Amino acid sequence: MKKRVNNQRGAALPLVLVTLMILSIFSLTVIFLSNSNFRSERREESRTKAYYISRTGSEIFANEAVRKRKDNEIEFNIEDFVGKKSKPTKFGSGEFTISVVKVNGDDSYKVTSVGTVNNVSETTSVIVNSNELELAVSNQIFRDRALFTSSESTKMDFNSLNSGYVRGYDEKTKLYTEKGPVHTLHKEIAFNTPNDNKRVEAKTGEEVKKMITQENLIKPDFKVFRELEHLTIGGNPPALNVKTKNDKISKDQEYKSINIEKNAKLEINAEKGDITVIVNGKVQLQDNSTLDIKTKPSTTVDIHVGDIQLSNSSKLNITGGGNVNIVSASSIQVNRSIKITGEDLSPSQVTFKSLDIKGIQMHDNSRIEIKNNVKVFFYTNSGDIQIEQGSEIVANNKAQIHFFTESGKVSVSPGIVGNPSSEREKSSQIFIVSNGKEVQIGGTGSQFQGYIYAPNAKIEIEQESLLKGSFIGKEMQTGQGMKLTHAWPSDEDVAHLGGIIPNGSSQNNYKSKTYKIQRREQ
Amino acid sequence: MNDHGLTLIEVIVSIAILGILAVTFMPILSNQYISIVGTGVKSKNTYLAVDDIEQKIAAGEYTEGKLLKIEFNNPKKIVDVKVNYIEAVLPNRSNVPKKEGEENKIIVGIPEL
Repeated sequence: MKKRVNNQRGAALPLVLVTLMILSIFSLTVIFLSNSNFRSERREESRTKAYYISRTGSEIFANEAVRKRKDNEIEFNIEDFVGKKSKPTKFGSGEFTISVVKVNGDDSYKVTSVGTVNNVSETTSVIVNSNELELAVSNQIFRDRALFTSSESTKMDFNSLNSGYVRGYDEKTKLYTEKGPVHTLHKEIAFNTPNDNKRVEAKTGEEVKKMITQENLIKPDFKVFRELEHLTIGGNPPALNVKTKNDKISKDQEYKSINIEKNAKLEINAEKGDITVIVNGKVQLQDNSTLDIKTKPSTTVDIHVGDIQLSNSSKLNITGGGNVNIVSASSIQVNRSIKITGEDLSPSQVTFKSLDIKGIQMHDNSRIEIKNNVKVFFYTNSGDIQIEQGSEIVANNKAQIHFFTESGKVSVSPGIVGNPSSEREKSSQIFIVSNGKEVQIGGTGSQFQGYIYAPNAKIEIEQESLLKGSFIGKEMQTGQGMKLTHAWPSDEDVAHLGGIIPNGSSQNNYKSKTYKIQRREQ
Repeated sequence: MNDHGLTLIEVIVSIAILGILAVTFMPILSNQYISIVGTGVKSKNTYLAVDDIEQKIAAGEYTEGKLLKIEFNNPKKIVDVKVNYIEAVLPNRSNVPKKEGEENKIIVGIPEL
């Protein structure tokens, strides 16, 4: 021991060796850590890329399934892909493979996509519900079910002797008739050629029942309108009496009433932002007066009124492509002739909502003319929609007019709605959507061109009526000499009714409802 | 070996050897250090790119895409899908894109609605 302590020989070699060893271990550890860090980062990068590639695969395939159903491409059916796996499809710096399985007791399809980048895989899934597939088929409901009824208890009478007839111009227009207590199909009237003049006569008293087997129709959903509630104010705001042509509202305002006198003009300018105008009492547009509403595409003008009356030759002009909501605590009344005009290049939307049971009334010999790319909605919850004797509704130049009621009655006394005797102008449409029990196109010689979606209603059409369009009701009864030309709206025509009528869903609805991406599922 | 005086030489030699070793190891160690720091930056950049791509998806900022063919067998079916692209560039450690090309990007395809 003492010898070791007194040993004066150098310890350099062991020292060097030990230091070398420590340094080596240290260096190797650093190298190992750095390497694994680098590899982990690369893997994370690949995982991220693979996730987005996988997501691409599942989203585009699910979208394609829904879109092709919407476009009525019968060659494509998602059912054909169930249980199958695609070949790897190159995308970006990797590839994805797609497989489809049925889930939720066959009600839905799960589209699974595995994205791979540098041997790193990520999986995402999109659930496509089969009823949402149906929802995306926009005008299909009219194509499949118009003229047909929604339950077995329904009937369609052609009461005249050799004078009631149905015209159709598409092979999809088929009319099956049944006779007697035993519901046997005894006659099929099919229109196989696009021949507008093909005439088929139905005999006296013959009942036309259950023209096609189908499930009960889904009732319309009006939730988009329910959000519009009438606002009231306290205090004692002033009354606005417009006598000159220069009155202008360009910020939020409250009034006791607004009266636009004969030939006067009021401008509501919302070009700088949304505007809310609250009127506790009545808004009256006197003869030949004008309400100009200037907007821009993103702005909304809310006008809450106690009551509104539009008198003879009054005009409502909407420019700039914004939305206008006019909510009335009472009824909405149209006397004589009014015009609602949009702007050709900027589509605008005007919604009239009546919270009163009186609903929407077009008095005797009234006329609503809408034109230039404006969509007009008349909505009432429990109120009726009455279009009285001699009234006329005309939509021109890409304009559309809609009447909605949740439980009220729709009655069109002899009047002209649309112009069925002329060729329909492209994209100018009239829709009636009702969840009520009665839709009457009454009186001799009524004319109606448009579309009715009223799955709970009896649609009564009086004699000598001239109709053109598609009609969906629970029961449909016609008088003598009813002439009907069957036509249905285009996809474009019903696209904005998404969420209101089934299978007229808009793209946004589809997107929010169908995609359920399971992120980072492995 | 002589018991006297040689340890100094040994110490000098050993210091020299250690010096050489240190000079040899230093670049490796410093490179590894740079690599670790750089990997951290790269990792952060990946998440920034993900953030970027999600924002672009939300805003719908895509470039017009091309046709993709998804092929299934038994029976053979080809689904043609038009896909729009959204890209986010992944900068390298030094925050400079290393080169053009798909290797250096996160790409997501969004369906044409």
